Amino acid sequence: MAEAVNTTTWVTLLCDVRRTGGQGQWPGRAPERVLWQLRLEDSVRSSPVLAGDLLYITCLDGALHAIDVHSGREAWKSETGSGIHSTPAICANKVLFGNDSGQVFAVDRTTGQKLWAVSTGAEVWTSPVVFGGTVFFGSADGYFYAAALSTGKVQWTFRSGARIYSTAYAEEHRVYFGCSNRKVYCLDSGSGEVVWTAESGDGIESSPALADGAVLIGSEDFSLYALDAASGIIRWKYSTGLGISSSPAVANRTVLAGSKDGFLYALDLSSGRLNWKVQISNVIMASPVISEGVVCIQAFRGETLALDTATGQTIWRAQLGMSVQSCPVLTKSAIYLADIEGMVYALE
Amino acid sequence: MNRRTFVTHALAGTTGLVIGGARARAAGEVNLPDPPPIHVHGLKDYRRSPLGMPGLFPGRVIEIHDPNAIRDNHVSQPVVRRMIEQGMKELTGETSPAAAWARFVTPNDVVGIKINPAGAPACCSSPEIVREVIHGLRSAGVRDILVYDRFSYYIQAGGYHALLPVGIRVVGVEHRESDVSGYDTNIYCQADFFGEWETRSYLASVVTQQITKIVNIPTLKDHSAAGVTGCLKNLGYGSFNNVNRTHKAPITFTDPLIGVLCSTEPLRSKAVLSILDGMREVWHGGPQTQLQQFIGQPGLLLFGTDPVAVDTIELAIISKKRELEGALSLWDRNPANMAKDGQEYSLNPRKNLFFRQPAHIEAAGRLGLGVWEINKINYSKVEMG
Repeated sequence: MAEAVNTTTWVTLLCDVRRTGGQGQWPGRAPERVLWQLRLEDSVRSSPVLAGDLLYITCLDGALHAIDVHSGREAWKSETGSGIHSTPAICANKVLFGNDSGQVFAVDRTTGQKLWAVSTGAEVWTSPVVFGGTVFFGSADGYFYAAALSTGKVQWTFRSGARIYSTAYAEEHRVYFGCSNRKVYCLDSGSGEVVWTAESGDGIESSPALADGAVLIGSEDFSLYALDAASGIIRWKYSTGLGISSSPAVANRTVLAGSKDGFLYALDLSSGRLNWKVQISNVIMASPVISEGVVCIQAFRGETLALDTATGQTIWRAQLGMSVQSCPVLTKSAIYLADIEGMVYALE
Repeated sequence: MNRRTFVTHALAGTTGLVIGGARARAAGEVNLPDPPPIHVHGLKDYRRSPLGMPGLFPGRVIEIHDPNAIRDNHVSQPVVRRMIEQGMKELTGETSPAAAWARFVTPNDVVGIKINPAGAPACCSSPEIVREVIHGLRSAGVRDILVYDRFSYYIQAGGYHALLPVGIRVVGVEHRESDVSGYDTNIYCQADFFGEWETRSYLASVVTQQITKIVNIPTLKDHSAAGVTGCLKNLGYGSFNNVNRTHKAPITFTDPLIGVLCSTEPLRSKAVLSILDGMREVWHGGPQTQLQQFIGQPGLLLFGTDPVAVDTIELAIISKKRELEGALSLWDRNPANMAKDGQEYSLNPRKNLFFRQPAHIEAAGRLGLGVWEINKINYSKVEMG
């Protein structure tokens, strides 16, 4: 079995708490061969994350799987008894994730042993976000939760009254997320009090990014919004052909987001002006990840593409399995990705 | 009749029933093979519900149209609410929407809303309509509602999980190919169409074990094999597994399997109402095209309890649109019009991928599921807006 060498950590959705998408860590070369591949027991709808020698991935078989990146073999798995759509997040010795029964778990990242669990009233598809010793996550029960990282004890909840599938973005004193009631919320991260809300034209599944003082988020109303992070006032919005569940990525003052119309859009961060758009598939639901001048994205119908962030020109394309919202992990030496058939790939 | 097959039923007393859609064959058309015998293995001693297909209003179809229902591909929630309220009242003769819904469901029912997400996101059951159906069911006191389809990834593409109210379960029966864990192995239709290794199609467990009523929300859409995909196709091929095996280009046995599946208990009895979503209209490339040039936005809804009658009207609407657009007739059987591959078919309305089988609607009618003769259908159109 070939050996993948990892010098990278990719600890949560889109790499890190700043959701940078791994910028600068991956040279953008086309993968030359499959290092290993592994078929899990059921479909994968989440994105893998990476820390040390272990790739962590959740599966609709109800387990968090830890896979040795050198061998492609499973090191351990942690069963929850219910399907998992939530992308795991790693913080210190813990891996955090939700499941379809509405529980959020913290497990030991070296052994898979359960440390604590929090119960909500419906499925948790969002990825838990950790900031300042607090775990933030939304649930389809219509509540947003803040829990202590160390114990799982719930510190506060906020009732939106509508399903939450948007993974939050947390920063000092603030946490941002979208909701199926069309709103984007900015809450005080210490108290759960509403700082501001902004309204789009339809439900929101996209997870926000923050850049240049703007909250960037897509809506099922077909538009990508840039909201002033301090006030929630719309700076600009850009309309595409269909809904946007993809979460935007930002590099060099360019915002990249996929739309369900099949196009990947590159917009100017300040003005929302279109730099370029490229149709890469019939449907895009996953988020793009950015490296050194290259954006990589998995499309619904199975295409994985790398494009030049400046021009949108295709650098390479691979036909792998279908992806609903899974994003690849990019390292200096390998790309890790998963598909809805439950295949996990390591590409060199 | 130009296609016939023999259907047998186990456990309900073996009956022989010869079915098949009728249509005179034009000169130059191919002679298609007869379908194989189909064996139906249903529930023992199941008592058919009077609410089941063709339901309370055989042969009745209500069309509601509002020019403001959809603009620039955005469906208006308030307009759709008024359309559904009006349609339900017109269908039932009741004076309030809540009373209309109460003709079909009780507070103790577990209601499954059968969506069609197969064309998601470009053309699938509109979440706005699903939300209004949920609103209507709740107005009749129903508390336990789920939305289902066979394929969880298409449901996700449609965004239903994120767009529906709190408390609604969203159920995808299959998460990946050949996932049979969500099916009831006691209820199946068996036939060998093309020598496939698995000759059974099983009914989803969510239908047999969880829900007591089904509200069907198909879309206005052509279908490369069946001709159109409406109430019958959405219900039958969206509730039983392993149905793609009925297609082997250019031959398809959607006629008669669609009707046979829909006539199988308990699916037949549980399906009490159909609201066909005509906000958008796929007139070529269905069921999965994402090409907007083949997707119109007529902004209409069809209401009925008789899926055969509703689909007959749908067939007429799509046939008319295709004629206007210069597309092949859905009944075309000329081998010269067969596309060389799916790519050519998807881009060219003058090509076919299969010898389509719109006569599956008539075949379903002959199984007792409803009225297929268009001159016998009580069809009312209401203009709003």
